[in-house]
Amino acid sequence: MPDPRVVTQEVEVVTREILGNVPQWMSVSFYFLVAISLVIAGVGFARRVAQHNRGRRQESSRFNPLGFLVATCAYLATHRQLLRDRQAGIAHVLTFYGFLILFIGTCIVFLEHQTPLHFFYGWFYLIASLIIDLGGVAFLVGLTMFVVRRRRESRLMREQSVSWMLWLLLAIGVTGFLLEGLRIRYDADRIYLAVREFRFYNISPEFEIWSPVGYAIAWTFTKLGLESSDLAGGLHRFMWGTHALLCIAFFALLPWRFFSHMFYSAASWATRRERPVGQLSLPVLNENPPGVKVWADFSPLDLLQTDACTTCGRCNEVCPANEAGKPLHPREVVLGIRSAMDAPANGNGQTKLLFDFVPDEALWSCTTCGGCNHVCPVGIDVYDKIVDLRRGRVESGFVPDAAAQVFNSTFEEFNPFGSKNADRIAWASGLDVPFADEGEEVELLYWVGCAGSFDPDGRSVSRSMIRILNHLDINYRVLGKRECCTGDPARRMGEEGLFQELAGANIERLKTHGIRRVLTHCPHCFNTFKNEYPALGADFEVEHHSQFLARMIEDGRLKLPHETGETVTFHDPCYLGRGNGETEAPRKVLHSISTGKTVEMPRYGKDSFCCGAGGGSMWLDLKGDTRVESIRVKEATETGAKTVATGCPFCKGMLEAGKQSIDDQSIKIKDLAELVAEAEGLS
Amino acid sequence: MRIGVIIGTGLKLDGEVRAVPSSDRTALALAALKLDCKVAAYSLDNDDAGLRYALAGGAASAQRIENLQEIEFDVMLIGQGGCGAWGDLLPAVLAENRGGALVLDVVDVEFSSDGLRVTRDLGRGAREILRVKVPAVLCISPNAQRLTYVSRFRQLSVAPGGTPGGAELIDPTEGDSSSWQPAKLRTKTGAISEKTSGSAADRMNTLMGASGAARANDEEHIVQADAATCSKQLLRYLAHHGFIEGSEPDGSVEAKSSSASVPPPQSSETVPFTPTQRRHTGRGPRKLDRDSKTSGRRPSPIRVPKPVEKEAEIEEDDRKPRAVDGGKAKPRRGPRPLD
Repeated sequence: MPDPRVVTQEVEVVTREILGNVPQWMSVSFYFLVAISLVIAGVGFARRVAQHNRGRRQESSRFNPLGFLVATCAYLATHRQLLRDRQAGIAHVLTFYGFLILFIGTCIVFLEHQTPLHFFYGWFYLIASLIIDLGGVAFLVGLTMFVVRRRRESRLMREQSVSWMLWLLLAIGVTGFLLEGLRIRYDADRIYLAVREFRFYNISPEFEIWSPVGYAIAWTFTKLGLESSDLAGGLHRFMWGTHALLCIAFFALLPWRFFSHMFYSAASWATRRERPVGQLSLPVLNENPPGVKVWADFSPLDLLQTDACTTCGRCNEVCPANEAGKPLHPREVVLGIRSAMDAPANGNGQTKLLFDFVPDEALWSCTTCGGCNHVCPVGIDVYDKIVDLRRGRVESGFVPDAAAQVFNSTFEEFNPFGSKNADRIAWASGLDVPFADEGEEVELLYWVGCAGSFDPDGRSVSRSMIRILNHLDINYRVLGKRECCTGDPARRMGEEGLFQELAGANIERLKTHGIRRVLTHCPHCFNTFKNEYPALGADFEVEHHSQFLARMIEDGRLKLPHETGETVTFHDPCYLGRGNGETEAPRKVLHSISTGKTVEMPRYGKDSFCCGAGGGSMWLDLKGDTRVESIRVKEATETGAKTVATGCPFCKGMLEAGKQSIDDQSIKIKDLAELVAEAEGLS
Repeated sequence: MRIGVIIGTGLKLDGEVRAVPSSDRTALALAALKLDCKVAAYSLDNDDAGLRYALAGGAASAQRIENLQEIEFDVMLIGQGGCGAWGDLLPAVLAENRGGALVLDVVDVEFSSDGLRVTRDLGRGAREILRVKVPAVLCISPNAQRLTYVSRFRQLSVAPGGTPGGAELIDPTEGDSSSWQPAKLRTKTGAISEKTSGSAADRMNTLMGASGAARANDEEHIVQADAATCSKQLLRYLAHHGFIEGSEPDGSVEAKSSSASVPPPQSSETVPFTPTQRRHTGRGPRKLDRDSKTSGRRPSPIRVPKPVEKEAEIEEDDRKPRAVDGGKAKPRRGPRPLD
């Protein structure tokens, strides 16, 4: 069969000679250096992966290669998570797809040159040239956007190494285009001699216009007086060498720092734990204490995630503690763990403790709102790591007094508020509350929770709920003094042993009543029952009161004759909206209650802003520039709403406290249950 | 040096034994961290939870004791729970058995060149530093600062046989109080009239009129009057609280709450003083200017105690504690220390 390239003169011309002007020693050296750089990269990756595998903690889920592949492709193809920040997302789309096209183009050239396959000619060549050129433009535009963003965006780190790597990629792109232009310019002379027929600007055959950027550069060179074939050839060789060296450097640098995110980030996203944001992983309490003290105490997946961090700073941007000026920067927590991995051992040959890299101030500032996990474009579980570090601190024995008081109170009095358990049913004074008898079969349990029992703001919610439940004539029971903390605050503060102890006791107690359904107005209790107790053997159907109220309104059992005409806004509790994806039910209730306007705050739904109570911050106080609750209340007042509704007793208490920072004290903070009770004429 | 800690969960009124009291936890932490020796923990009431806590908290051994004579020690630290049914008698008996010193209300201890350097709590923030020779029995104050927290996992993972199970002993090198005490207990604000975005401490200071902003902006609590009225007020205050002898003048005073201009001195005729009532919403601490009749807390007079013989040499305190009773030790309840 004849070689297709030489069928006609026309077909022969519509292609290009690969490594045409490059001496053999250069091309051989190139392949040799590429091989060396790939070996360096391979060794770098292997060493880092081996370091990841030194992570001691075992993951409960197994690695699924097919799922991994599908997830990776879906993540890269859609860029959905990255496009949450439109500007950065677009820049990444351009860079990523540009790079991908250039990489495929290089592979095509390699196959054409080094294998018996011959396909790089004719229409394929023209279309491929056009696409590769467009890919190159996208690559350069994307990189330029990143470079500009790095200078302008305050949240981005001014890391020198990242800037250098961006400039390296830019240099590769620019030298690629220059190389193409010089190649067209040089080929034009040769083709001119061979074919003696070209039209456009006297520089090259007509078909090279399918490489528009290269063609324009070649035209510019011509206009600049680059007529000599020798000079064009020399420049082409020089540019080829420069471009090749930059590419070799890029290959060799792949496993280090910023470039490595190309692999680790996709892997991190694809292997991320598929679970609600509010759910923490359950450490198995065996011989190893829960929590981490050194980096190797993390799981391999956690360590992979720290390498996946692109330092984009989205976590810092949404972190309520960071915004309030507290000493927590979630990105620095992740980078601190990464630094611990890189750090040499101390003088005794022991691995340095993580607390040298992540300060306690940062750990105890976290409100565990999950915002960082939610926005992370590469799927890093930041707040899980903070909780793990807290666990390590608790097991070391060094926790703030305030936290120790919460733990002791939870252990001794079954509530974190430091109140006597005997006062647990004080909230029910004057109400007809059906308390469950010992061992009585209970169809529906109304779980009041500690905030609903002890906190003045929470008690009014519990009372409203009882009025509603009695009004609806629902068969339910309350455990009363036998109810105890779910363990959520203790768990978020790192006392895993206490949490599991309380959880076990609660599950046993609920099982003795044959309880299948639990209703609660506390999103923290809701999250614990829904996401964390099942791992410890619980099997309850849990409903948040917003879901219950929405259902009752939908069924027509709540008529709500006394609707309010005031403008109302809703503050999404983190553990309801972001933590468990429930953002619709509370709004359905609000729309039913309010004949007035219902407005949204700038940050709402899953992107809501924390009230500042989570993760034990209800009881811990770290000094910042301002307070988280003050920021949120200010945001609420700016909507013009007269009432801020919420679905969490902790949020209600914190927002009430935040009211102190604003001038307008007339704004009301109310729970959905209170609003429904008022609308139903029950208050 | 044989360091011992008597630890227990104490007895509750209903007989339920649960948590180790804070003084016992501190006793163990002081022994394990500050004295940095192998600590032997003892329980007198077959208190398994206390012994587990001790092992989890860093004790090298833990044993039940039937007879106090069995205990060999150079320094013994005792908290409230450890005394159990013995009550206040236990430290005294132990000190007498060993012929050692007995120090009460200890908040800190460390080794010194000739024995122990013990810090006592004298109340109201005052401290006394003693140099004590061993053997010694130290009763730990409930007000002593907690040094470490022993997690439930550590407690539960201690093997019943008396040896630490999965729990590692607390490593004092991991602790640096400057780093692990960043958080304070939050104070619920309620409806505080002053606006502040500071910490709980700031808000409390603002509430108490102690912050700079509050002093500058809120002068409502300042009583402005002439010198005679002020003197009379001061005498009345001192007499009322028993600081000075003498009858209390009439409760009526001449005063005026803050205003832009200082009123001219009035005649000796007095006008009833009506403190400015601020709205109290039921949440947060009460305001200072609340009617004194409803206020349950008043400063108590400083009572002049009878001088007692000091058993240990009092060292000059670097921190200069507030002088109480002209430097004489305040008598305290409990058995006298032995020679």
